[in-house]
Amino acid sequence: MKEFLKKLNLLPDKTDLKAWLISFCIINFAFLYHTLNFMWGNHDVKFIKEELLLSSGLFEGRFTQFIPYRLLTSGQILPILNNLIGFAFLTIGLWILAKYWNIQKSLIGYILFITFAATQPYTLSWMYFTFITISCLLWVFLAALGLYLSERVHNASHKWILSFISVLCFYLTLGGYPPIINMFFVCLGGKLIISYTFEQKSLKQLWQIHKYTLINIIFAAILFKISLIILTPNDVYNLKTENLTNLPHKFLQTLAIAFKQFFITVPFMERGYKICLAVMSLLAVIGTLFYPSRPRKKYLTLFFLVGTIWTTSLTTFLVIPHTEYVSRIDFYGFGFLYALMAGILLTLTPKIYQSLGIIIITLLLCINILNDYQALKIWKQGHDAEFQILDNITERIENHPLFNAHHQYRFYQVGDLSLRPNYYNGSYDFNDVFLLTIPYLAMWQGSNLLEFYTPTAYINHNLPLLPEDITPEVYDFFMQKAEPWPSPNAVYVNKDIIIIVYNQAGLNDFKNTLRTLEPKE
Amino acid sequence: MLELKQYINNIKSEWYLWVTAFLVLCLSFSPLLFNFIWGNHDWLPLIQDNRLSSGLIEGRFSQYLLLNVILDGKILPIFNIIFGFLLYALALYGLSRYYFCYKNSKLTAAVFICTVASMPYITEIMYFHFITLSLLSWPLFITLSLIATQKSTEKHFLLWELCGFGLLFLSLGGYPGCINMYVTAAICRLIQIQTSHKPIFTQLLKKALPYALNIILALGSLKITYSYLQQNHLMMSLYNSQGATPLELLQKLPAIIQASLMSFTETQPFISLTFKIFLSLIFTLFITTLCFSSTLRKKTLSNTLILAGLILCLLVCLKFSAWLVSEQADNPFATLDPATSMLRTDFYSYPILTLFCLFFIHQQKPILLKNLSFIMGLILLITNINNNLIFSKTHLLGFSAENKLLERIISRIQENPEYQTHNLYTVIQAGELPLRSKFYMKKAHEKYGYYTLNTPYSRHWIAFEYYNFYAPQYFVQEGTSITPNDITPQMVNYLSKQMHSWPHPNAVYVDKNYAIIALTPEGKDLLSRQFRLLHLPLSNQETK
Repeated sequence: MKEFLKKLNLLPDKTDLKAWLISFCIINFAFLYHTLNFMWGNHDVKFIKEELLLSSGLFEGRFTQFIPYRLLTSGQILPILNNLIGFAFLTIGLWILAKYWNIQKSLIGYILFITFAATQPYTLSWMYFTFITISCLLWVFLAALGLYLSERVHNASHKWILSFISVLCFYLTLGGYPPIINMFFVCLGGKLIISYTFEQKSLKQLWQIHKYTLINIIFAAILFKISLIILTPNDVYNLKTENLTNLPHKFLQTLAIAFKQFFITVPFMERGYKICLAVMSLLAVIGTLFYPSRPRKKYLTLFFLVGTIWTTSLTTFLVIPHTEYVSRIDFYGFGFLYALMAGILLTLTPKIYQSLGIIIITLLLCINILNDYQALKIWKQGHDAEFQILDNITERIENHPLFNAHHQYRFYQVGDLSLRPNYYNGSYDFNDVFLLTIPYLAMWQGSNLLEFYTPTAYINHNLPLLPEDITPEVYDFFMQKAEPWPSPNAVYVNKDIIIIVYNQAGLNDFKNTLRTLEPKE
Repeated sequence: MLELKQYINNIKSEWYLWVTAFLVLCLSFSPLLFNFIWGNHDWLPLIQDNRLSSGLIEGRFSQYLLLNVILDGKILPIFNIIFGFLLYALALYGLSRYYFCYKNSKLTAAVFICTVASMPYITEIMYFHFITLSLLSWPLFITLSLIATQKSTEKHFLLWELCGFGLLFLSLGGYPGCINMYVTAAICRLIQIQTSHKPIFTQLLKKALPYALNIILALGSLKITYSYLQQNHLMMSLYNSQGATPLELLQKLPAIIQASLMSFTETQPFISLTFKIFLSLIFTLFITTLCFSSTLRKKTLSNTLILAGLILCLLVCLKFSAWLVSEQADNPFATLDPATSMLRTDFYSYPILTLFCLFFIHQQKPILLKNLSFIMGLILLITNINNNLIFSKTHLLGFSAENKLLERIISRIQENPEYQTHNLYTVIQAGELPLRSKFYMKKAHEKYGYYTLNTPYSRHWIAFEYYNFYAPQYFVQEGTSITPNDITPQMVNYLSKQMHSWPHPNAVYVDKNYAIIALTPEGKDLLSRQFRLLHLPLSNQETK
């Protein structure tokens, strides 16, 4: 094993080990408040109590999503360890990426590159749902490994073995979260820029080396598509791909989206921060463009740069649902473009550029951590506020004279409440639900949430609200008296049903539905 | 003195071994380190200090010694646990390095010690804060006692023997169940001697005698101490301090051996099947290795018989404390787990055996055995960390759920129109609602798990402790029974006709002296029955 790693230049030396350890500690510090306060998202409610099965992600075509959980934590979402394992993979994944991009090796350089890339607020988007944290951070490691090994195929004696491992890496990541494809191409684009500009490789050489990467990715993508056909997942929104005829038109759209990403603000990535990131990127671009002396090379470098920026919105280009400016997609796309820019700054010569890079990236790292802490403070406040409401609702139900804890009720939650935004006073151009607005007390999870802490299970999970439950009394109550929480008329209990009204919008929708079910007296 | 200096230097130079074990323990129970949660006996000790004499009631005269020395008798968040982990990690390091005298590569030794330190038997010890530190400290006392006893065979017999006895007696005074560790480690050491290159029976006997003497002395002294304490009315005669008669010991022997063997396969909450499979594999591999060891290759009958006898003794030693105690349990104080299945007594034997087995297998020449033991140790380590974290998560969520319920009950009591702010109430809590099991997916065939899963955070007989815990002023007084003079017609009416179980509006009754909470249907029925028996004459009188 040692020999194999040595051959691949993947055996860490002392500098690497130190860089791992220090980066891992800094990354953990950036998200410490989340690690220590066990918070979970609205998809996690059932999984926190039960366990993740290998088949849990099949319905949406994520057939490898829970393999890491089954192997590492017996399918359990474990407090603290969940984040620690995820960050360990992220740290090593980014270290491999640093080696792949040939970022100039130094302890400070590696630490800054890894920590800057890992602490960007995009990472937060994988921490809201605890049931995918480990997998989605592991994919970074596997994707980086796949790219690294693919590059090595060219000079390897056992081409098949390396190709097989890298195809496996790409396939596993695609099966877990297909938008990882952004990372494949952003990182490949980055490698092409660095090789062409700084390593003075010719286009022919680039083709000879990196054709294996392309072949491996395409092969993995074909396998992924075949797997989807065999597994026949449900007809879910996130598997809908764009029609080939629409792609030319969409190319220009996505090119614009890709460049707009430099300026569009989302929660916890506000204007000032985005400007700092844009300045850093601009410096890196200038440095890259001025590096080659021949104009032809400059134009080609520019072409590579534009191409790489475009690949940050590759998923948006390929799929029908709107995925632009979504932090979890950008985590694999634009986040890595920023990492590339940071890497270029840390690699550029003359030395003054590197020093400038160290200063700027240190500054950005500090801003990253501050943004993360601001987000996590708001998450914790929102989490506590929403769960406090849940406690109050439980109490209201238990105190209701008609409530019998040993009866099985059909349950409906009208609307939901998202309280995290109440604690955020920043502004943004584009709302990202995973970072701020998605509620902990989601409407569709109402029944599981209500029973989460209660001593008895009083909700019939097999039967939803039935048309016959809408008796004249129920109809009149909701048409005339019902009001959102905390009104006394926000909770309705009779001998068969429990209905809770969370917000006015939900109540309006519910009233509209009720009108179609109006009972005839 | 020189030797002691050498020990200290060695401990310093091999700090990474016990520090990694300590860190693995911290990681395994990190949710409990960073979230201060406690068991049902801890409510009062959290507010008041634990005095040195607090454990005398059940004969645990040295239970609070260390807590008083280190933390002034206080239960402090984080500190309470990390001190315990430090001492336990040090004990395992000492046991492997200075008692079994194993020398392996850094990585192997670190993995083995970490694996053993994190075995989920420890989960039961993590439930009660007030005994965590002491229960985790006894392994170090016993390790030192074992080393001293071993030294006694080399020189200064009386001095070392006395040291060994003193340390063992002190540990047994804190928790008699830790005798398991002493006997298990002693037998393992004898097996190690017997499998060494030149096994001589007389030498073995010479090595065994000091251990036997120590055990007899320590247990005898413990018995005398119990008698003294009971005579002076300082100690109650509880289930966990009643010894079995010689006849009982003989009768129990087959059952104890069976229980020891069953423990290799029987799963419990947080002691998963994977864990048991690897535990059994390690033990089986150890026995197989033993069969092919150089001693048995000589095929002398005496050697074979001695080793077989030692293995049999080892099986008894694994459940030694269960073998020694009387079967008669004095409910309701006894736990629902039988003595042979209590994790906290297994904590003192099975990890020690595993430590010995892993090092023993790894010492063998075939590289395959070395690799196999290392891989098994590593997988077991991962399994252990997972099991411990699952326990911590369940503990954390169960504690939150039960506390939320308590808050709702208290608010129901205080919202009752009869409730007076300045009155002192006797709370009669009918039934208990342990909620940890809500957050744990119990697998088929899992048995027991009283402290690890099933016991509630609020015991009905110490209601005053937790109902007062967060109250701005004490509103509940000690006591769990209704005084006949205080019975009012309203109470009679409530208890005989209106009472319903929680969360029904009639689950709570309040008058000027009592708050009655019917928490569960079973509790409600029991209270009604008890009340009918008690109150029948009065009710009849009223009817007349």
